Amino acid sequence: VTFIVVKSFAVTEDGNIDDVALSLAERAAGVAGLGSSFVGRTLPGGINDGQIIWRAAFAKEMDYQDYARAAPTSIHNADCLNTIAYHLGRHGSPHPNLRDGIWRALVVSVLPGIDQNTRLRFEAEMLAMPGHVSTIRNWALSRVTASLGARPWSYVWEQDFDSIDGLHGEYMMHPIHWGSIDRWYDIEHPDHIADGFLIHTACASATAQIR
Amino acid sequence: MSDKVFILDEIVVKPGFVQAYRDQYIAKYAPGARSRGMCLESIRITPPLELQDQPNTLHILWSVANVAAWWTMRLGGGDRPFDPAGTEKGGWWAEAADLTVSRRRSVMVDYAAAS
Repeated sequence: VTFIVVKSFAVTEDGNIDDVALSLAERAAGVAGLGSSFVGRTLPGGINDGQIIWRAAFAKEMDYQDYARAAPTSIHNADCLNTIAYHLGRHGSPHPNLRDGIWRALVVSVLPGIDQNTRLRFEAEMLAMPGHVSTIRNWALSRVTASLGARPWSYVWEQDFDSIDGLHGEYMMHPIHWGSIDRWYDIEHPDHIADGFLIHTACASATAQIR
Repeated sequence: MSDKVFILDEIVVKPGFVQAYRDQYIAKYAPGARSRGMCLESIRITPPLELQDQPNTLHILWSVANVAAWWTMRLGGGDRPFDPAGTEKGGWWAEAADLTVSRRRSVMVDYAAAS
C-alpha cells in the first residue's frame, strides 16, 4: 500500500517561495524509494496551510521510515508547520491521467472521546460524497498514522479536480456538502467531531496526485 | 441555488430554565449570529407551556439568504473576523450546555428548492 507523507511549509521573511520550492524538489529527487513527489504552492483561500506543500508517495512505509531517519530536520528559509503520514486509504481514481488540475486536501484532528461507530459513519459519508459531486475526479480518505505540528492529525481527505472551479463551484455549493457533510466539522453543530483548527489547502498540479 | 437556507436549532432545556435559556440565547448568541448574516425567523416552544418539572424544547429557526451567505455565516464574515475554527460560537454552546439536556441542528431548504 502506498505510504504518503505531506508536509506544509511557511517561508520565512528572508526566504523566497520559488527558491524553497526548488530546494524541496531537488532534495526529493535524491530520496530512495520515492514513487512520486509533488511540490506545490498553496493557492489563495487556504486555511492553516502555509505557502508550500510537499506530498511524497513511497512504495513502502519502510522506505519512508528510512528516509525520515536520515532526512535533515530543517530546510533553509522555511519552517515546517505540519507533517502528516499515512497509508493511502479508501480511494477512487477513475481519472489517473488528469493533467493540469487542482489537488486539494483537508486535514482534520478528531476530538478525544469520539467512538469508533461515529468515526465509521463519518468515513462512510465522506466516501459517498464523490457520488454526489461530479467535479471530484479522484479522491482518497486516509487515516493518519503519524503526525507532527499544530494538532494530532486524524484524517486526510484528498481530491483531484480539473480546475479550481470544480472546488469553489460544485464542491462547495452542493447541498450534500453544506447541508450534511459539513456538520462533522462545524464546531457549533452538536454532531461535530473535528477540532475547529484544521488544514485546508489546494495547489495547482500538472498530474493527478491520487492514482 | 439562490434560495433561502434555514437553520433549525431544537434545544431540549432543563426543567425550569426555559426563560433563562431563551434570554441568554438572545443576549449572547443572537448578536453574533445576526452579524454573520443570520436572520431570526421564529422561536417556538413545545409543549406549548413552560413546564417546571419536565423539559421543554425550543425550536429556534434562522435563515440565511442563500448558499453563499451560508458559507459566510459558517466561516465568519459580515463584520466578524474570519473564524474558521468557530472559537466564538463554540464558546457560547459550551457555556449554554449547563442549561440543556440535548440539542439538534438541522439545515433545511424549501422542498421545492431542493435539488
